[in-house]
This record gives sequence, structure tokens and C-alpha cells, in this order.
Amino acid sequence: MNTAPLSDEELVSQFRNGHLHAGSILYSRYKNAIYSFCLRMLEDSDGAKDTTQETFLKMMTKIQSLEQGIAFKSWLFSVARNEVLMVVRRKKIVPMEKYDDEVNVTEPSTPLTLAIQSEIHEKIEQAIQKLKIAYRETYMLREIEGLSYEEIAQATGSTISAVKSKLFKSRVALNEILAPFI
Amino acid sequence: MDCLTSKVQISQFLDNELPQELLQPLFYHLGECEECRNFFVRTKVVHEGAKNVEYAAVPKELDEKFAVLEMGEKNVSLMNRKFTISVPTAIYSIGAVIVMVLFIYVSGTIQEKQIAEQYRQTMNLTMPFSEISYDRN
Repeated sequence: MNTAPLSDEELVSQFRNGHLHAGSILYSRYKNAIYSFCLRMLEDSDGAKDTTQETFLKMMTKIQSLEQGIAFKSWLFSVARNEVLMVVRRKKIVPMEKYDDEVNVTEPSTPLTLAIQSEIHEKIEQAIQKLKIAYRETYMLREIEGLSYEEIAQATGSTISAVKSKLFKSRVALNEILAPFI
Repeated sequence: MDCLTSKVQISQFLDNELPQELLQPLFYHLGECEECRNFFVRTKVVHEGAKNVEYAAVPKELDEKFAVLEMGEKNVSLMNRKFTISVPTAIYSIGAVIVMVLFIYVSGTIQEKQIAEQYRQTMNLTMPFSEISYDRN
């Protein structure tokens, strides 16, 4: 018996044909990823919950607009991204102090503490939050979600060269922020 | 190779997007440049670490809202579901129905005869019903 999970494309096709269960699987598959993306972009759990809800409502109502050749995952993240940007614009949020050209680094604590892997992950998480919003979304889509350059370009409405550039700048910034810890 | 080009290529290398022919010059430069080597090591650590960043769990409230997808599916599926039956199952089912009908008929006939016999004995009739003849005159 074949127990391989259905691909996104197969589920999208079923969902388009009225099988709501396929939509339920897609929701289960991406709910935490979308919520985490929104949470890291907005740094507000209520806002993240609302934008996640809007994202999946749009998934349900606008799935027919998903064009052939565009990956469902990048399409869903582009929907989430638009929702996030709408909230940012509406509330005129300037997401925290964002890393641009200058680097503000605090002194590291004890070497023993720094040796703990989970601590490093925490530092990485904090460092990602210090990136400018445009860099942060690109970096998260690449490193956490594993989207290709092309998929990120589709999701963010930019070009592949812009994606490469943002990723490079993100890495330089993270490198400098995390230099004292690594 | 200058350090800026080297760092751009390190970024692409970590994404498996650096063309094969550029690998050798990059690693040659890394062998010579400590700054780029440090950049490479740190970026790789962050790259690996970012992969292990965990997702935050979506609030239960949202799960409850989207449970409507599952519920909706049950309603829709009952309306549109097609029922199919295999040929052997159909044959067995028809056979079972025929056997059941025969059984009811035979047991009914036997029971009927028993009732008739009981009635005949109660009425002290010595002759079976079938042999009784009526004089029409």
C-alpha cells in the first residue's frame, strides 16, 4: 500500500475541486511555519495570529488564483507577507531597531554559557530579529523555509539578483552581530 | 579575488548556488585570507543553526476555527459520495438473499402444516382436511 503523503500540488488540485479535507491538510502542513513567519516579522503574537488567520482564509478563497508553475509554498508565503506588510503599514510599525549598516554588539557572557548549543540558537534567533524587515523575510524564507532563490523572488515580488543581494547582506549583518559569540 | 567577491560567493556556496568552476578560486582565496576564512566559518555556523530554529506553535484558537474544513468535508462527502460494490460481493449478497427467501418459505410451509395438524387434532377430526369432501346437495 502506498502511504506517501500527497504533494502540495496534488492537495491544491483536490482542494480546487472542492475537497475541503485537502485544504485541511495544507493548513496543518503550513500553519506553524506561517505563524512563526508572521510572529518573527511582527514580533506580536496577536498580530501574528490575525495575519495567520487572514493568510489561510485567503488560501481558501483565492486558491483558484494560484497560477500554474508557481509553488504553493511560495504563493502561501507571499500571501502571508502581504498580510504582514498591510499590518505594518496600518499600524505604522517600525519593527524594532533594525540592523542596517551599524552594528551594536553587546559583550558576550561566560565562555561556558556560549558553548551551549541552545544558547547559540537563541542568539541566532535574536540576531535574525535585528535584521531589517526586508532582509529578515528573505533570510527566513531561505534558511528556515528552504525556499529557492526563484521561489523567494516569487514570494517577495522581487528579482533573483535582489534575493541574492539581500541574502548576502543578511549574512554579513548576522556575521557581525554574532561574531562575539561564535 | 577580492574579499567582497569571496564573501558573495560564500553566501552562494552555502545555498548550493555557486557554479562548480568558481569553487576552486574561492577555496584558494580562503586558504590565503584569514578574514574571509573567519567569515566562512561563522556564516556556516549561523547557516546550520538557522536550520534548527523551531517553529512557534499556532494558537489552539486558530486550529478550532479551521476545523471547519474537516467538518465541511464530512458534510460534502456524504452528499457526493459514490458507493461501489465488487462483483463477488454482489453475487454473494444475491445468493444470501435467495437462501434467506427459500428458508422463510420452507419454514413457513412447515409451520403452516403443524398449525393445521394441531387444529385437526383439537377438533377431533380423524380425516385429514385434504380428504374431507363436502356434499353440495
